[in-house]
Amino acid sequence: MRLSRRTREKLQRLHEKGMLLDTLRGVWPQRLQLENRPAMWGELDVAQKVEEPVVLTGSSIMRLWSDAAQHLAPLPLMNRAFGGSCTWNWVRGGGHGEPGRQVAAYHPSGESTIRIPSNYSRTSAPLSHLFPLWFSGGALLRLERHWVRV
Amino acid sequence: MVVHYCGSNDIGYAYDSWVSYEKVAQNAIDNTRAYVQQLEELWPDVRVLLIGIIAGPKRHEEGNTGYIKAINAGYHKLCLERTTTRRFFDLNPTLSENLDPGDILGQPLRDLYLPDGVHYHPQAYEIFREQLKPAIEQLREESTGLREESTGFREESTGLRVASEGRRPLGGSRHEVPPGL
Repeated sequence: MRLSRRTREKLQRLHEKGMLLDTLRGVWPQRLQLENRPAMWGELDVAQKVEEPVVLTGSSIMRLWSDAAQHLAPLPLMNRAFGGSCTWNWVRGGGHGEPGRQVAAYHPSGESTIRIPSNYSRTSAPLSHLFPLWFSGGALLRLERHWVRV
Repeated sequence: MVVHYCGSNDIGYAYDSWVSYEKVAQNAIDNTRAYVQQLEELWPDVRVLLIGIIAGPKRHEEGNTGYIKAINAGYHKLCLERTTTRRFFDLNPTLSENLDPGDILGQPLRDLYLPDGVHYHPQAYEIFREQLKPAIEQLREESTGLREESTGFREESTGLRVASEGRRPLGGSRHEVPPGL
């Protein structure tokens, strides 16, 4: 079986991230390498919680804005972004509970209701995209083992 | 209020997997819509400043700028649906050079970026401060009712580029959603 250069490069990148097999199983989003896990929302709140905050959310570009509190002073700031996050992580978390609910809890009046929007969609690697690979006779799995040995 | 920047990793995900860019781009828009709507349901008077995906050197090298434009167009459209509480802000023009009328993204100012081509040197966040602080302050003032007179836009005095009802937002009509998205 001959793989195109682009496919080989993709496989190499996935392997380097240790995610080749997960991707083939279609479970990539669950294994994303997320940084600064706000499973520690509670910890952060103890140290940083402020009244009527400006909440920074999203991915690493926000997370790494380490001087944001100084830059935006005197606005009360809370940085709840986490590195590696994709858009679906902000709807359903992916190991982080429900970030939207966590952020909304900073509303001064508090919030007790939880409703997940019905139009939520998470990108996963659908099998339809992978069937050609599966039908390649397990060559990719052998390739993975080969790389592991290397 | 909430300042949200997300979607760059979605593009990276498409690059690293076999999921089509079109699907990832559409999902990024749908997911962001769901997130914003969830916030609005739980926090009814929340103000959301949605920042467009920044096309750093890595995204340019990957050839993904077209999808970044598509997602940003979707974000922009999302904000235009509810201009009183949502604003879209595109930082690309201030982080790029060689902008021309046909290319909203231009070429990234590489000196601002770390070697990974995605993240920034700390000093680059001065640009974030310069650009975002006025927008955040404006939106926050509106949300707390401190503004006696709503001017809605302060581009002339501050260089602020914020999408707002009745005004030409950053990129204006160039933020067009391509067919299929």
